[in-house]
Amino acid sequence: MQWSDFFAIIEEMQRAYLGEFELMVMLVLARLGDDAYGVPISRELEQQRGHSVSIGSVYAALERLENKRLVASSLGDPTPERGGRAKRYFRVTREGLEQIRATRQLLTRLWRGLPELKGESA
Amino acid sequence: MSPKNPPALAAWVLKHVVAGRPNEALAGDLLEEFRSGRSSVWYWRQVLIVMALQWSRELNTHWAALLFAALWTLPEPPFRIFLVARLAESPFVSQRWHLRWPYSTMADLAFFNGCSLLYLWSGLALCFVLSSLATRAMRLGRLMRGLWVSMLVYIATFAGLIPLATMLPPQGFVLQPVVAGHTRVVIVSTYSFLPIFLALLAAIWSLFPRGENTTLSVAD
Repeated sequence: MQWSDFFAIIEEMQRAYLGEFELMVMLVLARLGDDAYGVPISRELEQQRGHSVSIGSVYAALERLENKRLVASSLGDPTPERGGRAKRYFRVTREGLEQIRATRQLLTRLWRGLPELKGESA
Repeated sequence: MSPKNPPALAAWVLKHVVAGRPNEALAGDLLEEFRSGRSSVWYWRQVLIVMALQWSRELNTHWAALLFAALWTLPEPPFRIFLVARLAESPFVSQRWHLRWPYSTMADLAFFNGCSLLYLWSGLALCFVLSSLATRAMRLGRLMRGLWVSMLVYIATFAGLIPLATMLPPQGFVLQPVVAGHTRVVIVSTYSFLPIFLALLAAIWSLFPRGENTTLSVAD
């Protein structure tokens, strides 16, 4: 192994790669804009994925993304239909948008290099 | 017409059993979805998923506590057999226990559980000292809370295991009889291991602050 490989590994380790679900959550946040809180996020994910999504797992993903500083959140006002509890609104940060773009470029490159799949074109 | 409310037990579990501080935003989201037509089964499923996610996260965060509790509990059976049993057989201790039933059994239980608690608390004290050195902050209030938590969890687990120990055959090392007299106390290491482990884990858990900067556990 060469020194350049070592530094490449360190650089890769420092990069905040997005998991599949995390990427989906970030894309939904970008799609929803200012109205992105737990309920619409999970409904949009359910609609797009075609099966149910637990709100707890959405919050867990949002927590990870917030720790990576890819997502930021703020509290809304308490509402009576929620038992007096406030909504927590989430938005994608600038770092988050850069990460989405980088992931899209990477995935696009990978798809382009893929040989034709059985039954469909690559 | 009053608004539809979720199952009371599920709401209680969400508030009190889920690890970390209550997440009001998440609870509000669940309530909003429930009132928009979701079923009680759906609500329960969501609560259980939140509970599983939170506890796995807590265990992941407190892996050092888990490891320390397991390592400290492992030498407890030899400690009980060699040190405590010899101490119980010593004239000084055994002569004090020429008591009639049920006082003899109560004295046995107090002696052996007292020894277990001392063993447990010495582990807790070591953990407290190490964490104080590492963080350069000694919070005696947390140690006191840890002592109380460990005692309560130990007593609750020990009491909960008594029916199990009477129904199932003894497992592991068996030490009997412990002291002279009509009563024979059977100390089974398998059953003594669990209360110490759980009590120490809960106590160490209470020594350290929970994740304060997380959206899943933020008290809004």
